[in-house]
Amino acid sequence: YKHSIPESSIMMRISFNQAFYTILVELSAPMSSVTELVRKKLYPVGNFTKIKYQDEDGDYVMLSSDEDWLVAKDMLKENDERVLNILAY
Amino acid sequence: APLATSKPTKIKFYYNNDIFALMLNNDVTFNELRDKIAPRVDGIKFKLHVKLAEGDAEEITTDAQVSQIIQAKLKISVHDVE
Repeated sequence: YKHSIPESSIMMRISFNQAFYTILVELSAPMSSVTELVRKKLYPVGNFTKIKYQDEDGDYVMLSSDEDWLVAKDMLKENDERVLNILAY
Repeated sequence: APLATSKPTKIKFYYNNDIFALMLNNDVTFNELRDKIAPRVDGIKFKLHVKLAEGDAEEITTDAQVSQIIQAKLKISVHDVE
C-alpha cells in the first residue's frame, strides 16, 4: 500500500492503548496540525499526553515541536519510507 | 570550511524517560546546543553528559567536546540540576 499514499503525504501508524490507528498526514502540515489530527483520530478511544515516533535505531523519539517533525520527515526521506510508526500515550 | 557546510548530523539526547533527536551542524557551539535543548527540558538549570551504553561518562562543557560528539555520533544525557 506504500504506493497508494499520495506523494505529498505520509501514513502514520499510531499505537495507542494496545490498538493501532492510521492517519494520512500532509508533509507540509505544521506540528500543531499533526497533533490535532492524532487527537481527532484518537478522541473516540481516549486522550494522550505524548506522541513519539520510532526512529531507525528502534528508539521512540519525542515528536512535539516543528523541529522534531522535521527530523522525523528527514529520516523518512533518507530511508525512502512513507510510513511513520507512532506511539501515543 | 567544508566541515561547516556539510549536512547536519542527527544526535539524540536522553532526558528523564524521553529521547529527543536534534539535527546539529558540525560547527554548533556548546551554547547553541544548550539553546536547542533548553525548550525540551523542564528546568532552567541542566547539565549534559556523554551517554555510553554503560552509563554516563564525562560532563560536556566545551565546544570541542560538542564537535567530538557530532563527529563520533555519540549520545547525550541531560540531567536537571536541583
